[in-house]
Amino acid sequence: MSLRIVARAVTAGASLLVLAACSSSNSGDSHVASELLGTSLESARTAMPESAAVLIQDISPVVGLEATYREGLSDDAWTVVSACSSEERIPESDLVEVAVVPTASFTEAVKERMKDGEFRDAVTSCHG
Amino acid sequence: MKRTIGLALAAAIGLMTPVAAAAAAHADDRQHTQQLWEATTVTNKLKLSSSTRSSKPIGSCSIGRDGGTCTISRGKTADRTISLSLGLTRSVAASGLGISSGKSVSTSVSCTSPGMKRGSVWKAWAVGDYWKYKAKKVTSVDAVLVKAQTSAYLYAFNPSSTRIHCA
Repeated sequence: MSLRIVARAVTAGASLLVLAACSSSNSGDSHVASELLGTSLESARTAMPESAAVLIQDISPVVGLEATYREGLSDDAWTVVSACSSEERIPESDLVEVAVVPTASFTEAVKERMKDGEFRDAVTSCHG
Repeated sequence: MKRTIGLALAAAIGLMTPVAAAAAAHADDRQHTQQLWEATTVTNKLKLSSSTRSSKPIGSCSIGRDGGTCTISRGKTADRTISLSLGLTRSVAASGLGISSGKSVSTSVSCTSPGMKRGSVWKAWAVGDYWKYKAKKVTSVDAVLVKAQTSAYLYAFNPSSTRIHCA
């Protein structure tokens, strides 16, 4: 009888430990970097830590254009429409991924589509 | 004498280590302290390639929209791997190979994919030098070589900060 009680107690304790571990750990989560949305890629870069790895998706086809982004060429001509970071705060992140379109095509209509979350799933790599 | 000076120099730069001291009586009844020395260095080194890819990608990106591109930007970290044996330390191995002993290298170059289908994955690998070498351990007592051991071939990968391969 006493053995059965001990076994139940151990099982319950282990379950609580598992629940606590699952609910308290955010490691490996992807975070929407909403503060970067609608900013130029040039501005977005200043918010990223120097040491962070950066992925840049050119999703120009969503506005009917060919993807032409090349790093080092006029980052101010591109606008961020989706972004994620490996940590909740961008300055603490070691990975930041952004999706961009040409600023010239970032119209009010595209802005609305961005706000509606249409481009949210364009960035997928921020999981740790 | 030359050997003694050589051992003293080797000990001074950290290549050799006095391991233990043992007292022994000599014929003239004076106490003598035996010095046991061990040193492990790199030998038989050979650079196998200057353009070896890292075994694992240093970055990957899943294309978010049909026709879109992804740029894997600078700042990706590549591991520098140095195999060790017979007490060879990372710093001595790195020195013997003429490379840094640091554990990683941050890349300063980027690569952009062509337009790809949504869900396609664009990956980047570090590129660098690949070495093979052996560790040689010598043991001396009172500056007399008493044992020499050589390991099997060991390997090291020294990634470049300015070269990556993307596909």
